[in-house]
Amino acid sequence: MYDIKLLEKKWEQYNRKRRKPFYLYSLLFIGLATIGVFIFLNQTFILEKYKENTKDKDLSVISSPMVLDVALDTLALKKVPQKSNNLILETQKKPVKTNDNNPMEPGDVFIEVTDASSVSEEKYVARKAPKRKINIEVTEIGYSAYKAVEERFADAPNSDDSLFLARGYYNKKKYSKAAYWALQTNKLDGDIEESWLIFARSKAKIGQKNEALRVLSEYVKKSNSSEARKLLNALKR
Amino acid sequence: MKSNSRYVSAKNVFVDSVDIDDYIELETSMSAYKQLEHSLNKPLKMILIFGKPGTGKSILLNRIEEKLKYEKEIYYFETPSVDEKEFFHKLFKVLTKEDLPKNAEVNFSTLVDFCKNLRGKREIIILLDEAQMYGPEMMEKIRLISDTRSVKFIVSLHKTDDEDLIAKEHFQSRIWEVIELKNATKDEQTAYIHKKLLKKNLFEIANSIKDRNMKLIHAFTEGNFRECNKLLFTIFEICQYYDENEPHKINYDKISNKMIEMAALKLGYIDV
Repeated sequence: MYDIKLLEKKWEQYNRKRRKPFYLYSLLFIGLATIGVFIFLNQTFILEKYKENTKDKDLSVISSPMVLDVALDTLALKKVPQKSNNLILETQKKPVKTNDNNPMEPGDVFIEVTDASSVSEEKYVARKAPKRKINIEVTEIGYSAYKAVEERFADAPNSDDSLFLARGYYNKKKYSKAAYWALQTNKLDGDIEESWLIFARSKAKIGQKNEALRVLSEYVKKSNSSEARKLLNALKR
Repeated sequence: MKSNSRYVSAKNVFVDSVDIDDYIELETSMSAYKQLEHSLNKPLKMILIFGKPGTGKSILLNRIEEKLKYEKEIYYFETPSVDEKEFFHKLFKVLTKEDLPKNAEVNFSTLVDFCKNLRGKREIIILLDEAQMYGPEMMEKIRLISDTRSVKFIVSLHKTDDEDLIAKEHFQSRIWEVIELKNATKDEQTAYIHKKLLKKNLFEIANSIKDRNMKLIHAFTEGNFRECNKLLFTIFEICQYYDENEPHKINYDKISNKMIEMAALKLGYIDV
């Protein structure tokens, strides 16, 4: 008869050795699964954090005008279907400031947001509650955004859109286009002072100073605006 | 002390022997048997049976001898002769049906002439097991005797590279029929084990070996009958120990793979 005890011992050793790869693979699987879950949860956390931050920023913009330094390259504008005043600002890498008090500087664009819109992971949405106004100074806007706004304007003319384009093109020193869009704005709504000023400035810049003076004089007569008058005097010098 | 364990009978079933009573009719072995029987009826001088050790060559020769011994003049040379002299003594006795006188030697040329004279009168079949043990010179003489057409040789050979060479060199032109025996498939091996146990009315033990056990047994033995016998013998010996000493460790309804693996460790099929 064999030494069964020794044989049993050997078998236990063999069994442990045989199961080793199984344990290793199990550990590997558990490790990978843990890493996977961690990454998934982390992503979810980051996403929620991002959404929370975005929401906070929206709220701060809405509640009190203040300066926001957001690392955005470009703000591209899209209109949310059926809500012509909703503006979705696509985030890129240039800074955007919201500023209610600072005077506009050359190259800055003034955006007036009058309605709320949605927020997505990759899109920064600037919202404005009705009757509240904020100024967002935009240093640079992508051409695709202008194109989108132009297309939207062609479908449904809107003074907000045309004024936005006038500002934008003026900011980009495309004065002919700025004058064109300021004119379009005036055609839709003759009481928007900013568009008159952009028109006059643009005309002056492209060498049509007389035309600028003529239009501005007419506006000053009509509105008695101190700002327009200041510009008129400056152009006359 | 005589053991009362049920596993004693089971292990004895698998004692490796070339006993015709132990012959288990399987599909492949039956096919080989019929092929051999058919070949014997042809005017062939030599028939080669080859296969790995433990594929059932010896038992096939045994069975053919048992079956045909009353119909044909058939002789089974089980153990290879240690030398030429011994072989020719045996052959002399087969041919002349007389013992060679003491201190006498067989003259090969006379033997060949004697065989030539037997042509048409007698047809002698000699089953030569383990023919790889015979040297080339001896094989050449066997070939010459077979050329007389009065003695037909059925040569059983292990299948190895060297032995294939022997077969090629010494038989190629004269062997008319080759029967190759192979290891059993899992199903054949299962049938073999069950039939062996049932032959001895060990129904419960036969039922306790389940399909998963058979798979493992086949994996360890690769379907080789001799290895299978060895493994089963060892398994039942281990079972016998538990049955006698630690019965709580044994499941009588089904054999555990642990027992099979322990036997495999014992026989060196696996190591730690």
